[in-house]
Amino acid sequence: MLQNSLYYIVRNDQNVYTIRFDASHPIFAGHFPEHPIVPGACLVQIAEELAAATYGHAVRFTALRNLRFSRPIIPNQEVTIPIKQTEENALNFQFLVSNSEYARFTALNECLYR
Amino acid sequence: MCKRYDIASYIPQRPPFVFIDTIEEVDAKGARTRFAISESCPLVVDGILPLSGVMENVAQTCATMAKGAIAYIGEVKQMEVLRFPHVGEIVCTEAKVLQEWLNILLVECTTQVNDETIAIATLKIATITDNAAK
Repeated sequence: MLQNSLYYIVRNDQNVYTIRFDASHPIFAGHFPEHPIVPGACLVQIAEELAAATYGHAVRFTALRNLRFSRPIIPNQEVTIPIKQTEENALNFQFLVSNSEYARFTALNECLYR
Repeated sequence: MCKRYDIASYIPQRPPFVFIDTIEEVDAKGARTRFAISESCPLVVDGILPLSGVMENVAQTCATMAKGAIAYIGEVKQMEVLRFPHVGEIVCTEAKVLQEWLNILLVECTTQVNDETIAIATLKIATITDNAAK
């Protein structure tokens, strides 16, 4: 779990989550030395954890569609993540910093599919 | 065949966020890497490497092709994970460049465990080269 180590949920308003990062987390020492950036893979993992929080059970993403990383997120930025269910087994995530989109993707989810 | 590649000179990531152990082959058109999944990997959950971790392994494999440059994922057009690799397994990821425009590579990747394909992805990798001073 990255929650409560790499990041903390500061608000959850009807599946719109706002999170903050712990800039002292060891991941930032390696990604990248002296230039900490939140790894894109961590955004995907955070999305999986938020999906689990939303549904109340473990979720494993099995596919991604139309992922775009537009701008790098640095550890002191507060990120707002609206989650929308677009199909029975598909969730759309946006990562917003000050209302600008820094990343987005659609994730397909095995648990919901069944 | 026994040429050794120094991972740290091919990718800018450093521990604990390194998702490749060895580079088996790399040139401007493709790369093949291996990665042993261990419990200490920062994205391992419940004994498996989830999609996020497979994506990072794929991205770092692609990044080896841009030796000396910064490479990052611009887009993942699509990615499918057929099964999640377990702690103790070794994933072998092969990247092939399909197209190249300026600093953008369109890359197709296949990840296998013992010749069983466990993930496929098509992504766009952007590179920033440090040519400005030349």
